Amino acid sequence: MLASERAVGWTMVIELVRRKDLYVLALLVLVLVGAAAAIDFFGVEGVEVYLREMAATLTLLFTVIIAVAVVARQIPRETERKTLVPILAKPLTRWQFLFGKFLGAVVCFTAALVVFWACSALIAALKGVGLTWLAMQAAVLQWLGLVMLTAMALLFSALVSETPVSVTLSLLAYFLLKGFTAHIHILASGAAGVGAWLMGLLYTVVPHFEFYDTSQMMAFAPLQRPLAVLDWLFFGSYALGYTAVFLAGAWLAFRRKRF
Amino acid sequence: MKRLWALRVTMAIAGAVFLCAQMSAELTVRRCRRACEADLPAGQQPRTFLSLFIGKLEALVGDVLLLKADNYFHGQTSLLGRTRVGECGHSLGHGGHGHDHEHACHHGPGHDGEHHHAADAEHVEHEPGLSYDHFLYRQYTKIASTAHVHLGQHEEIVPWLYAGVRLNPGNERAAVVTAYWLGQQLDRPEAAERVLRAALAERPTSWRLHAELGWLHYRLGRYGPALRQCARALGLFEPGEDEEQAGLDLAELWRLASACQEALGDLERAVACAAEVVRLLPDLSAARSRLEQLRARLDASAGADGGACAPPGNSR
Repeated sequence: MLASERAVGWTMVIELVRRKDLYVLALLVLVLVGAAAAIDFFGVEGVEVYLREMAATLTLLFTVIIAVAVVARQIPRETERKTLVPILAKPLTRWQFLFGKFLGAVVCFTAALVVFWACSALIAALKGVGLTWLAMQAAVLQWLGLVMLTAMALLFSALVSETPVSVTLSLLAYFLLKGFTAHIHILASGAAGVGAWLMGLLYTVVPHFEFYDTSQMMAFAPLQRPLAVLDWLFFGSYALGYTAVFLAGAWLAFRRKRF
Repeated sequence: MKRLWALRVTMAIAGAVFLCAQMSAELTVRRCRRACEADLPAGQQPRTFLSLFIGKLEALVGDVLLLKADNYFHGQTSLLGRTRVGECGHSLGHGGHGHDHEHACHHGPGHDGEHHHAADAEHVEHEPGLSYDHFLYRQYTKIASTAHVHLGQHEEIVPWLYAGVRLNPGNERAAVVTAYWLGQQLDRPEAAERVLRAALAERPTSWRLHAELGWLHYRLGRYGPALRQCARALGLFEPGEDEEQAGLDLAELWRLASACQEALGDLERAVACAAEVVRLLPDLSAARSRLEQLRARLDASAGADGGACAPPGNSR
């Protein structure tokens, strides 16, 4: 089961290991978090929230870069190198190809997330800063958001023919959506009539990546409450729902694509 | 092909909008910088390294980092959270510039009674969220905490204060707030003094920095230097646009002067300075009662030397 998809995805994992991106970014995490941990803040002891937040922010940012860089270039590059037609000549449907790429990207960014977290946790532990188990719920939410982002990047990858365009579009869409949707409710609460209705519609339709940016949640983990099961179901199904929509869009764009 | 054509047109439009936005931002920055440089008198031209590039926006850098510290102080609900959880009745400290005068005056001449909230170890208030009833927003509030949870450990705000004063030592607001936290809340008066002196090296004409240094000396029992700093602050004092705040700030300086004079044993000058506080804040019962106490002590001390209270000096 899923053997074809696994084969397609595995090539992405091998590529991630061979390329330098992951190692360079992991080194950057070590250097940046290490530098932040080494600062002496007027001799004040017991400062740790900033370190947790910095680690969480860098980890998410670098994992976003890895996820987008890995997935957004897949279809345009296969097209540019003319390797797509031989692959599709094999007993492999376009959906299998696409889903394999998606699975491979999920494995890649999960590995990157684990590596970056390990680097951050190492530095934090050296400074005597531990992560609470409540930080784990923030990490899982981050992972769900990254799954959603990967599917969106795959959609852009299927839509455009150039790798740089695909990567830029994916990153722009992610950061703009994350920044904009976090503030729609403020505009909506001040609007009335048709404006309020339109804002409400926008708030409903636009994917909310900000739900899954849990850097601050992770930093303030000791002050957080555990999420209820129903909330987990909501956030999980929301991310998977949009993932399905993006994948369906990618498939619709890819199935009639001519090379 | 049609789809690609549409995509290219969309990207071209998006690019144009992006470039326009960039140009607009650049023009705004230049306009702000020109305006601020035109506003400032010759003696107060920006002197910090950062200000060479961004002019008055240097204060914004410090303010952003102060906001971050405020965000930490309020346990992540304050920065953008204010729009979620409603206004908070207390702030990181010093309210930007001024002190919590009424509260302070109720607690004697020092700063010790101020920032009553800051001294609280921890409290949790569940404040009403923004009035936006959308099922997605309701879910969002479960992860973006709307509870107003103050950090029990105030040292957590220090990294952002540190970044603020290191990045821009001339930001008087950042320096004053940092010195307050270091000196009063975290028991690091020597570090507070270093921050204030570094800020004064950049902005020697800032009356707020002199005033804060005066309070710091006063708390450390160095009444002579405290009075000298207070005198400089009074000499350099410039009322802002807010007249009420200017009156409060000036009263605060006279209060420090009165406290220093009292500590140095010059009760007559202490009375005169306290009278200035009452003149500026006639409705403040604490100031009136302090003046009466000082007068009673002065009357009781038969051998006190005479002499009107001159303003504690004008260094300029």
